[in-house]
Amino acid sequence: MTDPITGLSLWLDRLALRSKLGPDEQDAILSLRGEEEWVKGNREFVRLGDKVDRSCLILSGLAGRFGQARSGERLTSALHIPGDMADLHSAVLPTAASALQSMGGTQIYRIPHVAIMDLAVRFPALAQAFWRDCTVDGAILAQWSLTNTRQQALGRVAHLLAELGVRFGVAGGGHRIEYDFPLTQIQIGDATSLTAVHVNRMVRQLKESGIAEVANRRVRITDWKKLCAVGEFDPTYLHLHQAD
Amino acid sequence: MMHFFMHLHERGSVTIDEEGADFESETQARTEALRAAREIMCAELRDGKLCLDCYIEVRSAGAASFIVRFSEAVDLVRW
Repeated sequence: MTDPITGLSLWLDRLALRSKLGPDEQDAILSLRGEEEWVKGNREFVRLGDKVDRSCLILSGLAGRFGQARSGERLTSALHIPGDMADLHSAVLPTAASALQSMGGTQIYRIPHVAIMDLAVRFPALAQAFWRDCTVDGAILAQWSLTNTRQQALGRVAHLLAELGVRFGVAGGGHRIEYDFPLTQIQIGDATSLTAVHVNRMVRQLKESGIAEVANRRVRITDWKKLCAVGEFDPTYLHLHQAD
Repeated sequence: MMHFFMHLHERGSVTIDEEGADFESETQARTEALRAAREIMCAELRDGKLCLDCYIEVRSAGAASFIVRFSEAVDLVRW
């Protein structure tokens, strides 16, 4: 379990990657208070059409944003890791146009929109930081759209693993080659527009090529350069270190 | 709900499904296997390959095992 201050601190790290924030602004983020909630795996915690008055900070676990076709087929359009405010945009657009779901057991912290908006009004630098944060989520979505329509199956899975490696590792100034990965084959398929059987085939190929292993709810990247090459992964769209 | 495992057989190579997935019925599992077979064939075709003898072996503790051959996932039409 992660305490809320640690979660807020991770979010602050994410904001500070792209925005220069002074001590008062940093304190203001760390002073936000909300309500902790433990969500079991595979549960929706924001439903399509819900009108919400709080945004969800991911404290631990992994959350997905998804939509579902009438056939029942699902598409995950975003993954949110600890330190992501998964629906920051709901502070200005409170009706959920897509749902949020826990991938494995996930701990969230619901922070009132009123408090977020108050910070945005009192601190223009934070308003810009929030704006950038939402823009980065949009940039990731645009990249996923390209990757999952124009790349073949192996590239899609490789890209996903590389992106998460960078996002998990960014606080340490680099990429992580090992991280928790609670997604099932089906959930990886939902995030890459592939069937579970095809995902399993690609995971095997990545392992046999000495590039990465996905097993026991963990990812271990064994050849970072090859992974990036196969996934055509270029982190520019993540807008890292823009505050420099 | 029943738990099904879908092992992929390709030219002597088997990709074992250690995770499996839940389906309400054998029919639903078969539909998913057909969908997977078609998707993999599409991916293979992009590289100019097609294996009609490949198949997905569907196993479940609560139901009889069955096989979905790639050849039965498509209607082959020749002019």
